[in-house]
Amino acid sequence: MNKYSVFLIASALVGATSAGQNGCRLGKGLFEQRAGLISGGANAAQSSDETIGTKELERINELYFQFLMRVSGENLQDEAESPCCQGTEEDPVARIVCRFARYLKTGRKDRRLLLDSVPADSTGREALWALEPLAYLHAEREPQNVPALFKPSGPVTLYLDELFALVRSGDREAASKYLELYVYADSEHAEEMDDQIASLLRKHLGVVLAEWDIFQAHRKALAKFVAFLSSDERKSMKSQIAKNRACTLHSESCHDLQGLLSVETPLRE
Amino acid sequence: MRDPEPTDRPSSALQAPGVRCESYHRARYYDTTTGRFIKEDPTRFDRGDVNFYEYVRNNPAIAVDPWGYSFLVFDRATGTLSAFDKNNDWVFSCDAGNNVPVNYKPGHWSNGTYKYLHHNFHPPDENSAFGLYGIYVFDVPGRDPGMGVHAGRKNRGGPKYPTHGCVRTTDNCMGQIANLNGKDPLTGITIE
Repeated sequence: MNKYSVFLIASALVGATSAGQNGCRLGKGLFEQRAGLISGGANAAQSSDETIGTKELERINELYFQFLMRVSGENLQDEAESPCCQGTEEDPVARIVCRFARYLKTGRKDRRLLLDSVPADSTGREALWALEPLAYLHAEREPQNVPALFKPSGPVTLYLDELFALVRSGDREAASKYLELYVYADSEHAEEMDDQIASLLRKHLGVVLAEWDIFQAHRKALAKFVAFLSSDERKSMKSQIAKNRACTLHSESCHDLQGLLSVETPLRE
Repeated sequence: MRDPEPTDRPSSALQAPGVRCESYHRARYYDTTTGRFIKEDPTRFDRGDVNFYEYVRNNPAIAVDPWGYSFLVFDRATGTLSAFDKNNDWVFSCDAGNNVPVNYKPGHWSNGTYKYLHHNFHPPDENSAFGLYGIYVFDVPGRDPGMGVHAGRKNRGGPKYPTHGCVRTTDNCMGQIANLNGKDPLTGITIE
């Protein structure tokens, strides 16, 4: 029995005792089990291990899917917490989803709910990006079988939209957390954020320059954004910024921002 | 699990352990060295002569949905995205790109064959990051969930405009993919 087999058996035992007892409660260590199954797959040597691992991963994904469906579908009175969310603070998926769902269902009144849900470590970010494939687990064959709360886009798309709305309103903490997420974002969600950052610079420059210390502290994020702009786009953005009244009010910050927009990055085709 | 910024990332969200998606599409194998498809008999699955999961288990190169039919091939050298239907027949080809800035560490979409996961809606705007038809997302080990095919940036060069790893094509092409997917469900994509 190799190490991977031992891991799979242990995973199955932990899962059997802790997950799904109330239809939506997530057992402790479920996300870590899932991560272990995914990364263990690359090294699994025996086909029987692979089959067990595949089934276990499918089972865990299904638990998360059911969890998302329940939390999404519940119509709770006032600001009551979902029964599915009780005792799930340690689960990185639940930590995001429970707060985010409450934020949406309570009319976006409590920004703290959303801000406290933003992941600050790599496991949390992994959980955030995983929300979309988990929510769309059955969408390939049943396009309507997705958590309704996040429609028409997926949960990550909506999550970034909501966080960005706070950034746009001048929320310093939201800006800091948003830019930190952008540094680590890849593919679809990074591209969504490209559009949002561009719109921030074009339509809400005053917010950026007024909170420049936050943006300056995330120069890596700004450099990443600029790397995806064409030369013409950088010139056009610089020219538009120069004409903006906010640039006169915050001339030093504006000069700094324009310096960032001057960096050319070649493409790899 | 780590973030994309470090260079060595682990596998993606829904990848089954030990099951790699190399070059299989239901009813055919794609030989990336010859660029040709080798036909299998799809009815063997339909008749139940072959247990798909058993078949997959004994063929670690297979991890593609058995019910899908159409599939896409992106040819990096020609900058072309082609679609093939359930009969392996070519349906259409269009301009596409997979350009990323040189300092973008996660880099291009690596060559290989990847299972189709889902379509995601984004507000239709031909000049936005995604264009008019959202994104078709595939399971790409080693990248965050969200690698896919989309249009967008029409006013800035369209397919040639850089992405964070996705393949960018035209809105016209995405419309054709949507039509094809409606008739023959999309199975996967080969990047070569």
